[in-house]
Amino acid sequence: MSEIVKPEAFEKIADRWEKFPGGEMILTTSEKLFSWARTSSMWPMTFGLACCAIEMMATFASRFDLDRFGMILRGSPRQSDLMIVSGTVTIKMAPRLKRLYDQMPEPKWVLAMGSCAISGGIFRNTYATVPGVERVVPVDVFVPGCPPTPEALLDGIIRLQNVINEKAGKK
Amino acid sequence: MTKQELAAKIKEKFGYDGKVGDEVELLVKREDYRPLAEFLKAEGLDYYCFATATDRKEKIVLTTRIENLEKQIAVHLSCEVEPGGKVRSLADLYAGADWMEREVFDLFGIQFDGHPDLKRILMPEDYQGYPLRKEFPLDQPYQPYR
Repeated sequence: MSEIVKPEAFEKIADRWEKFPGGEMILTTSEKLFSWARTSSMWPMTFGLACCAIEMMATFASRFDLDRFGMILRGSPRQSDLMIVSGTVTIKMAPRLKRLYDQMPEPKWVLAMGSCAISGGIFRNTYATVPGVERVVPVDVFVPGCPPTPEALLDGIIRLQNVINEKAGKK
Repeated sequence: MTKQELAAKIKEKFGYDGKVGDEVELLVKREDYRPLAEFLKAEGLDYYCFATATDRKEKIVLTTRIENLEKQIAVHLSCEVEPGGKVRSLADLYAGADWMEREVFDLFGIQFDGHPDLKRILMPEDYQGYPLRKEFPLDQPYQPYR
């Protein structure tokens, strides 16, 4: 009987790895198991606000290909668990953004992409800009840049996966 | 009809010396703003291009561009308004004036008399102040997001 190759993910989430004649068994917590599933398929909402959305679209397209992380764009907030705030948030858009965030089911995360979403950017001291989306919704990861390159956004998404794992107490 | 002929007609009827360049530029009294627009429409200038305003601190200059696209004649019709002052609306004369005047009201606070639906168009309806005025403070917090 050939030896079963251990999947890497099992090593990350296993608290104990028991072997017994005829099989193997891992012990873990449900939080670790669920966070493993969540990080492997985050579904972001299709939500572009400004020029950063162009870079976000490039990240989702074939060259950078977020599909490798199991990420598929969803058209409805009710089917998504990640909101990428890609661009300037105006004070007129802020209540709509909050409503979309409220419509997303738990658990949900927010990624602030670019200077405008982080702090208002060059539009900070104007009459219509929200200086930072964290004043409207809680933000998990900030990706700086104006706009951030697709590589930076990928890095931000991997960091978000790490945040989710750390909260679950995973290695 | 040329720009010069139009300027001469305006001079004859209303007494304003229009500056004729690329357009005919007129700075008129507030009570002549509406009659002049009616006169221009009767003369065939049937395209309301835009309305904007300039804050000169003690007064705000409202500028309206009215055109005839076939003959390529344009008139810049300006009139001075004190901050918060009233001007007769052109919305019933030119349909395109409706949203343009709402924008000027939204950003400069000029009231348009006789406008069918004068409310903010770009800023939220509960917004305080008129943001393109010189006195508008940019560092002032706007609750609840600033």
